[in-house]
Amino acid sequence: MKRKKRHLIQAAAAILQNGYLAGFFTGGIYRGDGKHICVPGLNCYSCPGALGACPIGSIQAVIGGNSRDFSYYVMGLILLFGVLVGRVVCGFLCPFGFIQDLLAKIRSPKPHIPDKLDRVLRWNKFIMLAAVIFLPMLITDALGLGTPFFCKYFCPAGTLEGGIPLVIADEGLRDAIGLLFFWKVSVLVAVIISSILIYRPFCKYFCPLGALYGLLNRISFFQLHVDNHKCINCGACERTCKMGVKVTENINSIECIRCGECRNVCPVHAITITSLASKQAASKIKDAKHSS
Amino acid sequence: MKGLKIAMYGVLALSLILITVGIVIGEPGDVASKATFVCMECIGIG
Repeated sequence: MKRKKRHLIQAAAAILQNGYLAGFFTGGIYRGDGKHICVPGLNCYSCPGALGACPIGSIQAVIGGNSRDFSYYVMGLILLFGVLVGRVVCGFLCPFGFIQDLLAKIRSPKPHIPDKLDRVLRWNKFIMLAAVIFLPMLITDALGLGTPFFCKYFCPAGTLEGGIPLVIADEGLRDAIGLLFFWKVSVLVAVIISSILIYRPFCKYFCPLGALYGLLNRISFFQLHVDNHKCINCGACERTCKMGVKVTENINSIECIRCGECRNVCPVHAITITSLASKQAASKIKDAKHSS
Repeated sequence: MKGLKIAMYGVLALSLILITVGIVIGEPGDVASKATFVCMECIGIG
């Protein structure tokens, strides 16, 4: 799939998930039945346009509430999205991923992150994932309510999609702005600037949802496959991959956001989309193992 | 390969079980009750 087509799908997904346009003018949020369901990507439910609930926000809200210790429903939905398509969600459906894709298009020097530092930083998203699940359980206030650590102190999507539009539209909220808001805007500015310089830094280093979907990439129905009989080892796929995936070695890596750029540049069409469920895919992967 | 397929169907089954359990205990209502109000902490006012 060509890059333009992917961006069109990303734009459509962002609009579909944030289709309550009235909210942007009134400073209110959508309160309908859609909020019973979590969307697959990171999309703050306090965004005035949000028609569904953010899975990370929901998991923290449910675990942090005083009635439940674990969020079966939200975790089940995340696992379902992940096992069906893995990080296709990151490449095609996540509005914050789309914003980072657009920011990366701004012409600027693109510094190379040293490989060692890059490898260490990538573990950070798993720390974030652990924090999302465990901190609201472990750190509670006098009423037994957990703090939504990730949403409160870090999530730049919440600030961009929820905080800023609501503060612009609602005078009462403007009066309530304090230190926390300035901290969150600073995090957002840092993420925006780094997204211009580095491709998808939030997805690579911080996103707990990307971490979970990444873990499921290897066992999702959606799989990419490199045909070793066709591959001429030209390296075009690895040079074009902005997520730093070693395509010929591990195409279904945790880091692959399934954008399909490697498929686009392969001169011999050695990269194909398959399903782990199909018998054909099984034999393909078996063949690839034998020949390598 | 077989192991990957077993893991895939295992996670699929687990996800469906978790969703079902969540629905039975009324968790979607919990999610909606949180998500239909502005999360002040999430937007940086809290």
